Amino acid sequence: MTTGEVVHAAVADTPITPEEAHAGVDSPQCGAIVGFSGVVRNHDGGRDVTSLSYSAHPSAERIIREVAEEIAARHDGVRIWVAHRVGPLAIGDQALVAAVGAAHRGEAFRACSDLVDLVKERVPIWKEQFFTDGSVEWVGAGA
Amino acid sequence: MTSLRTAAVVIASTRAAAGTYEDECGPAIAEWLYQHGFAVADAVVVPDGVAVGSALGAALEARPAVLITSGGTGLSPDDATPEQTAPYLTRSLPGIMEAIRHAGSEKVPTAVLSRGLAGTAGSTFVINLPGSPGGVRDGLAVLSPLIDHICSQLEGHNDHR
Repeated sequence: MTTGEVVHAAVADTPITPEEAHAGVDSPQCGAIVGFSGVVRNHDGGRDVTSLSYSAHPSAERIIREVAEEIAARHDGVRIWVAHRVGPLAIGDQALVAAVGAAHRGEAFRACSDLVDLVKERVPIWKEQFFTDGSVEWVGAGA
Repeated sequence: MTSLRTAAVVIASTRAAAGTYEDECGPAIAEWLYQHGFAVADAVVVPDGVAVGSALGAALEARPAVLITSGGTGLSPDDATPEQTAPYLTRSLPGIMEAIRHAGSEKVPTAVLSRGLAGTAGSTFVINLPGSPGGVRDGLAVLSPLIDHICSQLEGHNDHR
């Protein structure tokens, strides 16, 4: 088994897109590329969201890389690109973007799913949600 | 903790597979899948006919939650996507296609000529959408309020919401 490669793992304060993630992992040895794009929704828990802001602990950049490297070690020959936004985001903006390239689609699906799960579980990023009724709430980004 | 739902896309288009035509449906379907929280594999573009069956078989090996095709559902001699899909389906969901044809026919009468199938292959939800961007848009609009429930049921969750 060949350990995978982390092409990019970062906390970003500027927009991120599925296209750059895809381009980042694309390579002749990848038979399949699987992408994920977590978009800011206009509702949460039945309430209307107007905007939100993500804040990261200073360790977030290191931990997102560790998470990506752990996934690369678990899945044969994968190529990984992952980034989480911080700062103010509007409805429809990309909050978490990931892409995984692998020789086969099954491996790419499993690695991408593992990656997103582990990022949400471990990376210390929180979101502050602003609702249309004027209320504000803090939640873990994985919620 | 729940794992991500996965999705694969097969585009049946002889012209797009030959590179003489830029496929618009694949990106539109991928965008919709992203918005619904799926991990999405790159669309596979194949010519109409038996290549569609091979592409479906390969996609189903990875056991995605959802497999969407676009194209090859009409009456041209080359259109064979429903015939290529049928052998993989273990259960059929005719109501979904009736709803999609109905939604489309309010704008385009020929929408009723789409022969696409919907059903399940194991735990994968499979659907044949038309090859036109409008047909894809109408089909996805019908699926939007259903897709989460379909996937939950196929995952074995029996919550009647």
